[in-house]
Amino acid sequence: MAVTREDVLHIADLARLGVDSARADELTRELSSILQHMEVLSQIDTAQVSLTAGVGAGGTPLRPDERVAPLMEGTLESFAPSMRDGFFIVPRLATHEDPTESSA
Amino acid sequence: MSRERYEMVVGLEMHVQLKTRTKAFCGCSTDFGAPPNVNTCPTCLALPGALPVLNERAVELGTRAALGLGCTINPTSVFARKNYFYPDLPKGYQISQFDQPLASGGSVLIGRTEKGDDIKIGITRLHMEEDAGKSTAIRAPPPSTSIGPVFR
Amino acid sequence: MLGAADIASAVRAGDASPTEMVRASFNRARDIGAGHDELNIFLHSDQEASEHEAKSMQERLQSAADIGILAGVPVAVKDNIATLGLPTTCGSKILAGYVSPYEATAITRLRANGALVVAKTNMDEFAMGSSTENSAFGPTRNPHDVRCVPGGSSGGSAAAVAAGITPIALGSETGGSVRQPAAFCGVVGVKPTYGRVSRYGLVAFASSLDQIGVVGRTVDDAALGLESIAGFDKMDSTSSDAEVPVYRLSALGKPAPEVGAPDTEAMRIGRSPVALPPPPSAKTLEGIVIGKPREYFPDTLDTNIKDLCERALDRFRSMGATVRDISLPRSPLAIPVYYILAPAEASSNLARFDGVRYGLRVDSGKGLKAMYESTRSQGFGPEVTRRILLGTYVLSAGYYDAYYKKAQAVRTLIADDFRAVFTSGVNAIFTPTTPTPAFPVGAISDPYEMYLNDIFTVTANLAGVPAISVPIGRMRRLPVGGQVITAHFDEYTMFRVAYALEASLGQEAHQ
Repeated sequence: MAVTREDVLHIADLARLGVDSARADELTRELSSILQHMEVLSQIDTAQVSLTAGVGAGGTPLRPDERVAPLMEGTLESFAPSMRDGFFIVPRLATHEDPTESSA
Repeated sequence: MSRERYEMVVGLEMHVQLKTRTKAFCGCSTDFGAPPNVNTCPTCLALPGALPVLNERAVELGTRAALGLGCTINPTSVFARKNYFYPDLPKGYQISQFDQPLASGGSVLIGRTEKGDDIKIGITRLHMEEDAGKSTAIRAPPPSTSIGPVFR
Repeated sequence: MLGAADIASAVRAGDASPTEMVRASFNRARDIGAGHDELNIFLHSDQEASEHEAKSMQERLQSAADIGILAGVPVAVKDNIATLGLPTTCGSKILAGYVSPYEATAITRLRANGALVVAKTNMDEFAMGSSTENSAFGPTRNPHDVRCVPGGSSGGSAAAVAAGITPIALGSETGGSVRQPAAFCGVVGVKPTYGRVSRYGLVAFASSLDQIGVVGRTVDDAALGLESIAGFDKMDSTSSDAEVPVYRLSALGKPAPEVGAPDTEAMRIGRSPVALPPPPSAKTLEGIVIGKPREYFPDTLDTNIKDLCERALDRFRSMGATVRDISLPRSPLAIPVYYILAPAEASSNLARFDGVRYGLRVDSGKGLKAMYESTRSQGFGPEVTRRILLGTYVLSAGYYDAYYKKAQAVRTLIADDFRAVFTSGVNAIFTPTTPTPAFPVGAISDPYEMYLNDIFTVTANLAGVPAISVPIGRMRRLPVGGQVITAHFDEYTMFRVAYALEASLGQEAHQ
């Protein structure tokens, strides 16, 4: 299956990667070329094979529902790009056109 | 166009917060009313390298709800990641359940018809997931700064 | 630079101070040129802070009886492992300047055992690469030949040990990223069993494959390093509660002492230098069966590498081991499987780098979506971008079954191959670590050709089994590594075989 330019632009959008026009053509070629090598897998019969999601011991350990003070040093301000009064400030969403208070 | 050819089917997706003292995947408090982003840790801030650990009580309460609704509990259920971008989704994915939820089947009785038959609403599935506590979008005071959602 | 065990015992005995060890480390770094404009091994270091820490440790030493198996040992740490104080950038612009407010469990354990973190080392961006050329901060040069790459993605860590700056360094493995650079740099590299070492604080690339690994000047350094960080961690749901043996005991050529047995001798040996193991004899590996998988010795294998591997196999035989021809038939499928699964997981794990809470933010005033896109397109390099796209593609509707699910199924088959071999009487598998020695910087530009560097290493990550690379000789003056793979949680046998090979080859491993 060859990757198309539309595919690349679509997945770049899903992954919020901002790929420009020239790079999109290059990436289309690169991804198509890489995926060619994966075609060999389609010839392997895996009808009766279970899927391996992970190779761990199996089962999910559970944690008691008790408050734990996090082992963290410093403040959020020390790494936050933009913070005020404890809030992380981000650019406006496109859906938030009306700048009066709204709740989601 | 005959009215009898169409039947309305309504599905309801209900999100119910489980009453745990700590979050789904970390030991931070779920109490309301604290200042923003105070009850946080590397895991719920999605700092690089942080990992989730599942809350035992969440599983207990989810299972209890499933039993109460007459569902079949799946002995093995699987957490899956729902990937999208939103400021109240720090990891860029929500830990939820997809293929193999905690429970399926079951029903709720919501009354009787005039004839006296039970009105039974079927439950397709019940699953566990993490959700943002609350999202609020407010304008930041001076006009030169940007407006945007905050999250906690 | 002395071995870790020797440093620790000298420091505990009061014959050397932690401060002296730290200074020696920094002096060596200066002499060899570990800085940005030279070999570019170090991304961040702070000599003053390290000496301050060394001084505190000196004080602790004076009051406490024993401060651990790594007392005063300087250690370098790959820059994708969270440390307090020094930044954690993962070799990426998107985390330039980011200082983690918490530290990885492995680091906490190193420190508890007395080690001193002296530097964060260079790496391929987000651990994606096999040469350290994908770092946003320039490539690292191989101390054996500065025209060449040190391998990757843990190139800086392997180079730090090869250059004699530290006897031990932490790296990370997803597809061979500790073993391959160790082979290229003529040092020892270990990938533990998946779940052996906590991943809490290791910046995730592919969660079902990642493990923190250890680079050591010798097998002993690597064994000591692994002992000091392995074990259950409640902060990592995938970590195992299997007992951590005293790996260094395997140097004595005997099977592991029984778990839980009150073996005080073992404890004593674990906390001080192992009593000098006897020189290798015809009985050192008696009873050990070593598998030679035909898929890892293709006709196309470089003859120099093949010859060095055959020499190693002869040494195994001379020490009493039996070498058996075996097959791991699905191994040739490993690269396609890996390059579907790892990018898929990475595309999800790297979604958190969005400019909202930490790291780079590029805001052109055009709203949130534009901020996400500018931040990520400027913050991530070309290989990371390529892999996120590849990963997103194979997970997307319409392609999920054909690629991602298919790869998960073939992964099961690859793991089954190892299971079959280890339950048929084979104790360890021996293969070349890499198909070539270190190549010149800039020599490989085709992405898939670069991926083929992992051809012998990636199967162990997919199966979750432990593996070690040990120097077995030189070709064209460049180091060559041989790999020993054992069953899940059988690092003890892996070290036993590695110790024996190292002792048998002696200086020939570096000639």
